[in-house]
Amino acid sequence: MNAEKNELLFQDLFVEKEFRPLIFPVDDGFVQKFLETVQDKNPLYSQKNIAPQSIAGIYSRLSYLQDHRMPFGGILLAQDYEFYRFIRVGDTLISRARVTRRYQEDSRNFVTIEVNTHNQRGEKISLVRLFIRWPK
Amino acid sequence: MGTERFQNPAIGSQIPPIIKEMTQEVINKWAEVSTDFNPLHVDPDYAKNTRFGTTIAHGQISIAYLNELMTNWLGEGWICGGKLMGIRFLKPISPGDTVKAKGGVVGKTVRNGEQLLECEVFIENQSGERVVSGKAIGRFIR
Repeated sequence: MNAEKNELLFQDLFVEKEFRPLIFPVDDGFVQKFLETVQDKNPLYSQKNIAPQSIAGIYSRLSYLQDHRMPFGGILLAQDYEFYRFIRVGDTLISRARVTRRYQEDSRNFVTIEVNTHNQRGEKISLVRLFIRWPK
Repeated sequence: MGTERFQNPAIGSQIPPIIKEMTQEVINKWAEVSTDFNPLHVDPDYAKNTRFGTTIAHGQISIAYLNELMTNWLGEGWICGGKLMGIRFLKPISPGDTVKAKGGVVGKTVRNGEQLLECEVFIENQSGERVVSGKAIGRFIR
């Protein structure tokens, strides 16, 4: 599927660039597949019908790659995650990604992307910052 | 998990670790659930010609392990209000690796009447090398 998308290039990125909002339904099938993949057996999720906060790693990445693909060679240098409230199974999340920093150093490209996510009630779910060495 | 709760954790207290086996199957499943099919992760033939010499796990799998570590320990105090800060990927994790997520309390503060625990968290491989490291801050709920 990625082959159909153009690469997201450093030259396309600028500070305050906003990507179109990602609509991310959190259905039970997705949550069960996620938990099975990482072999997370904490009963809290089924008892409270909630999703693990680490699905933020998935929706945050998708939020800036809906219309593009990452060029090969990108390096995720560091990440920050702030979790504000439960993600209920059945919620629909809305993630908004924007570029907050872009610079070059020693001929290398660096980009910081911040992703704010709310649920369908407008409640803040998470804030994720991705510090990326952009390949080209 | 979730039952190894604690009373008034002191600075220096250790978080009960979790151990995971990385396999190509885990990586392939992550690719499906995340839709990240970068050949560096899922194509052994491609990956063997890279500087890694083998496929490597998606970095976000490590985030999931750290999240599991903290959720098991702090429960809702982590889910609502937890922070992972400055998480850095120091070395790749590859199929065949056994990794341990662990950490300990390095600071305590009170804000708005809640006790916040500042922790150093990291993931080690089977050689004891740190492959991921960073800081976690969570709420302690009695």
